[in-house]
Amino acid sequence: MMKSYMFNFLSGLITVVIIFSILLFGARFAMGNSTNLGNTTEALVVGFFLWSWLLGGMNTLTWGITTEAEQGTLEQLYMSPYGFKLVSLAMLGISFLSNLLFTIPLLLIIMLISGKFLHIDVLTVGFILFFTILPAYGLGYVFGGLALLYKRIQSLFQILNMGVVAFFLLPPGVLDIIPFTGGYHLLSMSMRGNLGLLQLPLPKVIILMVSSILVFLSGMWIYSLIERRVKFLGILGHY
Amino acid sequence: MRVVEVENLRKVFGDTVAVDGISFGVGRGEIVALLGPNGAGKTTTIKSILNLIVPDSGRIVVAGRDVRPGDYWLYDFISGVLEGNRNIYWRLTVEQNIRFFAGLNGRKISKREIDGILERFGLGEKRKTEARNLSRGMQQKLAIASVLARKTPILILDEPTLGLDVDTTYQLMEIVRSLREDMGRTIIVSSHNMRFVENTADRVIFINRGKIVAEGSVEQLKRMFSYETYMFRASGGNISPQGIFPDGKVERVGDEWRIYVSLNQSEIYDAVDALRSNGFLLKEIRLQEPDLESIYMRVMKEERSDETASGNGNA
Ligand SMILES: Nc1ncnc2c1ncn2[C@@H]1O[C@H](COP(=O)(O)OP(=O)(O)OP(=O)(O)O)[C@@H](O)[C@H]1O
Ligand SMILES: [Mg+2]
Repeated sequence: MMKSYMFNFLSGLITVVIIFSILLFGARFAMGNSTNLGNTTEALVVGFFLWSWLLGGMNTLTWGITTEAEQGTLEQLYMSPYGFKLVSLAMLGISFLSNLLFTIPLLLIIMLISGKFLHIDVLTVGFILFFTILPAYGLGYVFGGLALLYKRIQSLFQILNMGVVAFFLLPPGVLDIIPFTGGYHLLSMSMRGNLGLLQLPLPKVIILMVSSILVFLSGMWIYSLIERRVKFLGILGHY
Repeated sequence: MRVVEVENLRKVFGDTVAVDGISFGVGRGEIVALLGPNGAGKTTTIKSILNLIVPDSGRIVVAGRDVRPGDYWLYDFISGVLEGNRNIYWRLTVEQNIRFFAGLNGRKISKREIDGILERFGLGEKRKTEARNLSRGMQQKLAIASVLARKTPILILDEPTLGLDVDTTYQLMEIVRSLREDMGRTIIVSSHNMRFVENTADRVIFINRGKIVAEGSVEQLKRMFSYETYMFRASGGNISPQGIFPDGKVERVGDEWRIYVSLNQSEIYDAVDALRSNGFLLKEIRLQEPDLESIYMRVMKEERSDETASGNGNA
């Protein structure tokens, strides 16, 4: 299981680097040599870094659940006395750690390509990152559940995944209650301004934490509703 | 003591009634087999017991406790290998699979225990082989071995013999028996292989169209359907014996006929008369012990004729 998860992640990493390069050079080309370029590049680096994490977060469960269903091992995972919630959380934990391992080289590659070296306070970035990613895992539960219920709609989610970027384009302010938006702004602030966790605006950090946990738990709750329906239809092992 | 109880289980999918009010109990250390044609509702019953399907109505009791949708405690008591060859991780080795499944039940399995399991299943040499590179029979054995590593007292096996050759089926028969004998496991098994069931099960439950149509030990079933099969060896005759016994099985061996028919004691004289009056020379009448397969065929045939008689048969 680990092996295929690893392979999935590696191929993801390569794709992500390629997409980033295209984006970056595309942006440079479109902008010409404007003075604003420095800022844009920084935003791009932070945005891209976060985006790759969110993709990872959302896809882990969708991909995990559909793959296990396809392999016929999902029902075996369900037959654990710990319950599927805990089993899937363990899956998420493993994926989070392996993402972390691969993100460091990814970030280095991205910074090398863009020539923009950002300050990284590991603790602060890790903290904000965690709460920005958490809701993505929540959405992963919902997408995973929907994939079990409706089958073969993964490609639809890929398109939705791209759309997450839109949340980064929202202006700071009220919309920061959306954890993706709020997290992105806090992360940019920290990475660009060399700010530690305590130097970031506390209310924004708290709002991020609360909204993040809320979205995550709602995702899990919606998943359990879908799961009930799937078990009622008797299609847990079908794919 | 009953470790599994199914009470009035019912499950409808769209307009298919998959399970139509099934009730049975399984005692500790018992091997119970579910038999029935394709689509009879065996898998639906099994998955309902395993809480992988939420039934429309009825009760499932495991280890004395009611199973509710969303419950997971039952997996400390019960585990299962489902239909098909997809219960294991194809990219993991034999040993990794066993460790992983033990882990799903919170067990850190010792090397000694793994050795014991591998030996029992004859998988010792394949320890480091990835599951996808095993033969179909070995994959099936690994699936059972992996579930065994979960160490639940109750095991459910859905069609463990499907697609296996005679030799592997025989090995599996020995394994299933030994699981009960040496390890005291309770086993519910569904199979289309009559020899397998006849040689493993303490009790057989025939299911057809979502209902239990007969139930008992192999011995009881043989008595319950206390017709006997006779084999007549005869030669000569001026018509085909099939004309006299439309339900019988007729074989031609050399210049003699072998006629297999189910008769009760009083019918046997009529049969002999009928053969004689049609010019047959009787050489031998032998009583055949009924086997599970002939009982199964008989039960299912009676089911079919019941349906046609009551006018709602459409199969
Ligand atoms: N999830 C489902 N959705 C719709 N119909 C289903 C579903 N599962 C089973 N059925 C139908 O319910 C009936 C019983 O199926 P089930 O799989 O329980 O039979 P079975 O006895 O296991 O058959 P087999 O010997 O072929 O495995 C069949 O008509 C089947 O098509
Ligand atoms: Mg079946």
